[in-house]
Amino acid sequence: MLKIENITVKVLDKTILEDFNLEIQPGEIHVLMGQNGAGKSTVSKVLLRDMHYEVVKGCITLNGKDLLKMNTTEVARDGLFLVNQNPVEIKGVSNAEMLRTALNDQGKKEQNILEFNRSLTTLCEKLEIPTSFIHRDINYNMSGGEKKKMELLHMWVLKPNFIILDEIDSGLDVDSLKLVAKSIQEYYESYKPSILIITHQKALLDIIKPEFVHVLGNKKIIQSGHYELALKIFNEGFSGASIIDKSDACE
Amino acid sequence: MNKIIVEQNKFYLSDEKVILSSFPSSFSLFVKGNVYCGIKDFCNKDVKIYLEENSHLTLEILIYVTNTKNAIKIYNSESSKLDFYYACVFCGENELMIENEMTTSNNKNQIVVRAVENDGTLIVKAVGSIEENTKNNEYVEDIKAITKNNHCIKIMPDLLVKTDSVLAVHNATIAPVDEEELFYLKGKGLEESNATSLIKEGFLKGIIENEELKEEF
Ligand SMILES: Nc1ncnc2c1ncn2[C@@H]1O[C@H](COP(=O)(O)OP(=O)(O)O)[C@@H](O)[C@H]1O
Ligand SMILES: [Mg+2]
Repeated sequence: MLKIENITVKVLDKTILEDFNLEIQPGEIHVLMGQNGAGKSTVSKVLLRDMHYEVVKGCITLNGKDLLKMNTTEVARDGLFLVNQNPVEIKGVSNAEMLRTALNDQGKKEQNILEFNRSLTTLCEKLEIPTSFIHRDINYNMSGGEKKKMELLHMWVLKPNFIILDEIDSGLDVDSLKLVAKSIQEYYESYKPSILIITHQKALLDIIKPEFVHVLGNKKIIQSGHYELALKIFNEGFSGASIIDKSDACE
Repeated sequence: MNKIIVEQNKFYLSDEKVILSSFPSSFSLFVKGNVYCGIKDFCNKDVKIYLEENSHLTLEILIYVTNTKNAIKIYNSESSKLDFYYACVFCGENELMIENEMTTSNNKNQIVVRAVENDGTLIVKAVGSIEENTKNNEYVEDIKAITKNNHCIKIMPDLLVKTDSVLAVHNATIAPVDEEELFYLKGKGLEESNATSLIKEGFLKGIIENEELKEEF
């Protein structure tokens, strides 16, 4: 379970979030919406303990532990997994190499290398990416869509119990988006993780139906509701739905 | 793999693919046709490389160096091409000297250096001179290093271009391990130390094609 209580977050002395609250129970699917620059990605970075984001107030508990006392590796090992908005490219480090090291570091028992490669091959086929990508450098020379699919491949291997999808739908064509959404849905049905979706688009939510919808504006959550709230925003926009005043819009 | 003809510290390579692992401290490579040469042990060496007309050499070196001085001097002939990849982890006090003198035309040389500091210093002297009355030459130096601070490495480029018909580029970057890459890997559950080693190793191996060199490293 994740509980964010009254946090205030600063980056380079600029306050991005103030008195921000959010609670997500195991197996729940939440959506976080909000205009560009509202601070959505900041939430994900804070949870993954990116030290550029300073939590100056409040507390966060993850599965009963004080998240603010954990480092990125520990948070990831506790099952938190972030699909980054812009996955970074790492030259010379292959996906297989990274995943094997990750599994080892998580203390999961050493896998037979052939079996491991076979399971990666199956995942590639399911995600419709060339199997050669397994041994390709992480995200190197890959299209936006391919990067997002590789992130999902990592997810299937690492089996997290809390997934944050930061605009996984941006830069995906219609077919890839469907495939990505279905893969997440399938993962959800298999492992029942908690999911926090950050998105601007309806298509993803048509497949992964969220129970809870939150709108971030003015540095905090200004409205929470259910799926209908998201639909209203998709139809009318934030200001049309009278959720965010012009005066609330982030600079 | 072909047999290499060796004669008084001279290696003659012609249209072949070789991995060299032991040779004298001072030697010459004569290159003809299309040659791939990987070098395993390259410490305190002084090598001269002669590229024949129309030849193309791909040279890869992936090594650990400790208190070593390496010197490489390259001589082009008309329309020759060199792709030189030098990747090293350095410890102690080290020096790498690369000299390239282009006196002919239509040459394309690319010198790529990747260095990772492991408690030590490295001085890279890259001297390129492109003589007058030559045409259509390309000379690219691309040097990158991962070090904990800027004092560990000194890159001294010296480009002497005496003609207008040339493309000469010098690029050098010195930086610690990339924070975003580190964050990404830790976010997948890797220990910081393992993430750091993967990034450093990848940084070096990323420029090397030969699997044998990479595996033995
Ligand atoms: N690393 C950073 N350095 C400086 N400013 C940042 C950084 N990360 C985010 N910000 C700023 O914080 C605000 C919120 O950014 P972000 O969380 O990325 O918004 P969103 O994801 O909702 O578009 C923006 O004004 C952005 O410029
Ligand atoms: Mg964002």
